[in-house]
Amino acid sequence: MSERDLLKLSDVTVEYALEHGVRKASDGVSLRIPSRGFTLGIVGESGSGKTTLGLLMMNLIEPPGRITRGKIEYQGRDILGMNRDQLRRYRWQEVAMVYQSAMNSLNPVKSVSSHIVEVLREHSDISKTEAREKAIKLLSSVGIKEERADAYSHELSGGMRQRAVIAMALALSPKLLIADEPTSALDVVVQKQILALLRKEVIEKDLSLVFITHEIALLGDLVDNVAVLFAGEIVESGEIDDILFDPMHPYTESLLGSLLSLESTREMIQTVPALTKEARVVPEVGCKFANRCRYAFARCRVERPLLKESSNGRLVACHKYS
Amino acid sequence: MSQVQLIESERRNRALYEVRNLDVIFKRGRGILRRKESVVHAVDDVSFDVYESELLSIVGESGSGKTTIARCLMGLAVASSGSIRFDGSEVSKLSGRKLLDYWRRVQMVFQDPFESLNPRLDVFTTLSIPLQRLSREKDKKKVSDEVSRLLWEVRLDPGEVLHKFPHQLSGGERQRVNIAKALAPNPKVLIADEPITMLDASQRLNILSLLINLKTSRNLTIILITHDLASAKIMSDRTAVMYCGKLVEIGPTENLLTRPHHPYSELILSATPRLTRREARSREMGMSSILAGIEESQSVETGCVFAPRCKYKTAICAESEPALLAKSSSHLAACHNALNVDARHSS
Repeated sequence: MSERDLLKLSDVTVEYALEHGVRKASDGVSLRIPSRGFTLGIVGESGSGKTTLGLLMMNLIEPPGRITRGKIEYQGRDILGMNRDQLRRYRWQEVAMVYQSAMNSLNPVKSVSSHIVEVLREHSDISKTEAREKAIKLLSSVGIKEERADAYSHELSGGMRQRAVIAMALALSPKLLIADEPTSALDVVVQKQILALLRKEVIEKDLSLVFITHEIALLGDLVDNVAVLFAGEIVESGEIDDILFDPMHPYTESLLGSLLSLESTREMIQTVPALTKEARVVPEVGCKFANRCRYAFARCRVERPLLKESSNGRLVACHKYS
Repeated sequence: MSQVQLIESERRNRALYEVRNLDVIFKRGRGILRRKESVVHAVDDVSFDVYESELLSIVGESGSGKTTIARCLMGLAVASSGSIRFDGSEVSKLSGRKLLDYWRRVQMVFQDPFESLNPRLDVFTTLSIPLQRLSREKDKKKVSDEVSRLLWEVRLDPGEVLHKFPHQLSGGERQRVNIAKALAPNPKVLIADEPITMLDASQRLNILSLLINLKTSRNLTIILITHDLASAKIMSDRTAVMYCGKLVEIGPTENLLTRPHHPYSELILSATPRLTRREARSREMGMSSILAGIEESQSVETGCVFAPRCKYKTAICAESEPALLAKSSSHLAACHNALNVDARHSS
């Protein structure tokens, strides 16, 4: 049974019914988390469908969103067909998620430890005292001392709240953790602490991690693999160093080109062209990136490139390579 | 630029702002009856100058007091004590016509481009109001020409955006409209508070490059408030670092980022994400030390504010508060054990 992927999405499409028409937040996405300890970064700009992908893995797409195509399997079991009880066990115990701005959704009239106690008691048959002991242990593993365990969320800093939320997600020792922009509102030093904490969990517990972010520069210190998302499609995926230092897809290239880092110079930033109105339109036919692509040729306007293995064995959805 | 040239250029450029011993205290009631008052020292004894035509970055984490300083400079927040002089006159004493005059010369661009435009005004109206109010322009044709000119200047096509409302614009376009609005009264100084934080990566660089070009073309003095050292690096001539309401280091950006004197500057520099290859990464190393120092900024009664988190602290750090002193030419730091200083002098 070792052949089975931990999590596998096959050709999944999610449509959101909006006032004016339908929008595909996820458009024929296939990806694999082959085993435990596998770390994947999902990167893309706002509106590219990153969060939808995270929610899909939890089977949490709700109306007006609808899964119109595809299959999601966890260790070979179809999660879209699970009943309530099965889903209850699947979420938290198998796969847990740290939602975007989760640190601001802690219950203000409950202490942080009691959030974790509740999760533990809801999903396993343990006494209050045992649950509390375990909660304190979990909090201390993320650097929150016992004396702060009974603090309320408003008494904690943003970084501490985020760590408490991570402790909560890890409460039932899931095999896969999905973290959706967990550091976007935090200062750099705190951000680095959160990344170090996640890395520690990956190493110590053989945890699989899906880290969703719009900042590609964060991924280097954290994950081994990256999937680049554009307009609901994975346009390129592969090993982190390949993606960061030898990008194949023109979108990945532009993402790295517009990266603001300590290595950037004034000259570099002044050569980045502004997006025109035309470029911002995602074409209905052909490659979705064609309007923004400086390599686009005739074929790109008529035929949508699929994510497939190129000659060097890497996965990319671009006609340049076929 | 060498140190000597730098000092020369500082001599040429006079101080436009002189901030001295600025203190801002926020009072916060506690308990149902708010009988117990707690005070938050948002800005604590901060002094610095802003030179004419320079771009100064003020860097710090959230809560470090950088936005409060910007608001004081604008006359939007009231200092508890200390002074801010602009071109020789005290900002907090300005009122009525004089304050309006001041706002003609100093304008601000805010962090959130979505919140800082009136959703019920189209671009034309948004820009024509400050033109009419602040430059007292009455002629409709002239106002309309000026609106178009401002839009071109921020690289927006008036034909396309003139009659659009904020919700019809992208984040980057909105921020451009905000910049155009700030430029309308033809100011000398632009204070930009985290102007790119809320934007997508693809638009961030364009906004920064726009600001750099405007600085040159309009000979603006720009104060950039940011939490991001990378923007400070490409944008600014000088950088000031804030921590817990204190100015802990100020100096030429290049020196400060290559050889920071203050341990806090060193810390944020090392925490700023970089693209590194796998072999150069230190993923497994140093994690325990990062997690060990995980407790975040906390208030101290005496001594250096950064001491609880500082890996270089010595006995004196808990006893006396370090003053902001010149550690090398035009580079000041508030630290008893300033880094790199000896090395610099011997080299």
